[in-house]
Amino acid sequence: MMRRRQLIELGASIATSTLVGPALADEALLQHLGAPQDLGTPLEALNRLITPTPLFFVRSHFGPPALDLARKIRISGLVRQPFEIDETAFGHLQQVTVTAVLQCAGNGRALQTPRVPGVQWVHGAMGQATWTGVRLKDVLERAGVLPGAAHVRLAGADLPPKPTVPAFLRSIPLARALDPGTLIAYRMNGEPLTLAHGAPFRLIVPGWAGDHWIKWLTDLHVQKDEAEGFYFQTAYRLPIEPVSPGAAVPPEATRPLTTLPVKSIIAQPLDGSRQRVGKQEITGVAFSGEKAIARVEVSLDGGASWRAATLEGEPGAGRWQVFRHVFEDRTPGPKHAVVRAIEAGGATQPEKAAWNPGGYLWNGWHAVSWEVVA
Amino acid sequence: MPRRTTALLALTAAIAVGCKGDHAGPPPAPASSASAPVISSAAPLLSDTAAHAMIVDDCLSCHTEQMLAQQRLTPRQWASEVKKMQGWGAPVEPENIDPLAAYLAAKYSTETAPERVPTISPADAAAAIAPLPDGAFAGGDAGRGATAYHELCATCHADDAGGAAVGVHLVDRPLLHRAADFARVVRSGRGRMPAFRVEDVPDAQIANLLAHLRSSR
Repeated sequence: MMRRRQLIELGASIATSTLVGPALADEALLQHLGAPQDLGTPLEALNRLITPTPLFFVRSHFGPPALDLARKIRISGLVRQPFEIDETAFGHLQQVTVTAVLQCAGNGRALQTPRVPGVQWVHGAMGQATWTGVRLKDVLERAGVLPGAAHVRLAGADLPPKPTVPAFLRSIPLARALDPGTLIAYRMNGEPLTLAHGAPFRLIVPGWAGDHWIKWLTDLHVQKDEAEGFYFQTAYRLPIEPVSPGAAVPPEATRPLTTLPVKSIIAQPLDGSRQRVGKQEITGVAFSGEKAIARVEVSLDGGASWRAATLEGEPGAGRWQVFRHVFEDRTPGPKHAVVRAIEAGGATQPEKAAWNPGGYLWNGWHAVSWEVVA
Repeated sequence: MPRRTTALLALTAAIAVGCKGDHAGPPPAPASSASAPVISSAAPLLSDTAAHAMIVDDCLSCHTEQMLAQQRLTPRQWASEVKKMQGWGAPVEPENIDPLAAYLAAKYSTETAPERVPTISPADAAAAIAPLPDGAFAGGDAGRGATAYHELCATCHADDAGGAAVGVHLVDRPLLHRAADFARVVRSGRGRMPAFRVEDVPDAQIANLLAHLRSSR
C-alpha cells in the first residue's frame, strides 16, 4: 500500500505535453450550467493520465470572484501569529508538486435512482492534474497552531449572490490540514491556475472530494469546531448507516463525506458507438482516495468472467491510473463491457453505488455497449 | 410595471454572457397529464408563458434556467426545492410557491426524457468570465459613481452593493471588469430589473458606476 507521503513529488513527474493526446481543437466541455459555470469533462477525454486544463471540469456554487492575482490568504483563529500571505511570501517555503484526482462529490448524481436534486453530473466532474504550491502544514507551522485547535475553516472570495444565501464555508480536520499532501496551490498542470480553477490560490486535498478543494482561497481560520452553516452541516454529508433508496435522512444520521471511494470509468469505446472488426480497445481511468489501485478488471460477458486490464501511470492513493484492455474481435454484432476496480487491500468497486439523498460519490460499475461492424 | 422598481439590478458577468445553454438545452418535455402529478388539484397548472415569466423574475438573477431544466424530480422534491430557494432569497411570492412547484413537477418530472447536455468550447467557457478592456467605459469617477449608485441602484442592490431581497451582490464580480456586458445589462434589464435608457445612463455614467463598484471591495 502506498503511503500518502509517496504521492508527493518534487517537480512535475509527468511531461504533460506527451500525455495530452489528440488535438483539443474539436473537444468541448459539457455545459451543465452556463451561469454560474458547471462544466463537465467529456467522457472520451477520461483516458489520459493528465486531464488538459482547458478540458478540466469546472464546478461553481456562485461563480468566480473578479480575477485578482494580488489576493491574499488570511490565517487567523487559534494561532500564535495571525498573518496574511501571498505568492511572494511563498518563496520562503518549499514548493511541492503532487499529481492528484479532483472529483466533485456530486459526480454521477444523474445515475442515482431515485433521482435527487442538484447539478446532474454523469461522469464528467473529475480530472487529474499536477498541482504545485506550498504545504498547508508549512503555512500553519509559521502561524503557530495553539492547543485546542482541531479544525481549519476554509473560505474563498466567491460570495453568494444575496446575503440570504449561505456562504460556501467548509472545514477540514487539523490532522488532514497537516498532512504533507495538502497544498495551497497556485499552478495546475505547470501553468498558473486559471480563474475558473481558483486563481490565484486553491486548496489541494488529495484523496478527498472536491468540496474540500476550496477555490479563490482567502481565509484559513484555525478553530476548535468544524464549520457551521448549510454547506457543512446539511450539504456534502452521507448517511452514517446505509439507507434504502429514496429514504429521508435526518441531519443527525449523517456525517461529512471525505474520501473518494474506489471507482473506474470507461472512456472508450463510447456507449452506442460503432467500431471496426479487429482490434477492440477498452480504456479509462481508475482511482481510490484511500489506497492505490491494485487491479482493474473487464468483463465482456456481463460479469460472468473477468480479465485483468493493464495499468499505466504511478499507483497511489488519490491519483488515477489509465487502464487498457485490448482484444481481437472478428465477429460483427453488439458488444458489451463492464469494468470494476479493486484497491490495494481488497475493497472492490461495488456493482451498484449506495444511494444517498445528496447523490454523492456514485461509484457503481460502468458498462458500455457498442457495435462491431465489418 | 407591477413589482418592478426603478432601481438598477445588474447581474453577474456569467449570467450576462452565459446564455448559450438556454438555447441549446433539452427539448421541451411534453406535459402529459398521465405523467404529470399535481400537488394541489385545486390550482390549475400554470401556462408556459406565466411560468416562464415567474422563472425569469424569481430565479434567473442567480442562475440560468438550465439549473431547473436538468432536474427530474417528484412533486414533493420540487416543492422542497422551490421552498428552499425562497428561503435563500428567491423573490417568489408566497402564493406562487405551490403553482410554480406544480408546473416544474409536470415539466421536469421523473418521467421526462433525460436532458440533452449542450457543449461549449473551452475557449468560449474561459472567455465568458475573463476581464475585458473598458473601451468606451474607461476613466470613470468613483465619487460620481457613488452618487449615481445610491440614486439608481442601491434600492435593490443595497447601499454596500452586497445584494438584498431582489438585487444580487455587485462586489468583486467578473462583470465589473467586463464593462460592455455590464452596460448591456443596465440598458436591457434582466428579470425584475428594468432597462435603463442610454440618455439616463450614458457611457460616462456607466464608467462612473464601474469605478465606484470596483472600489467597493
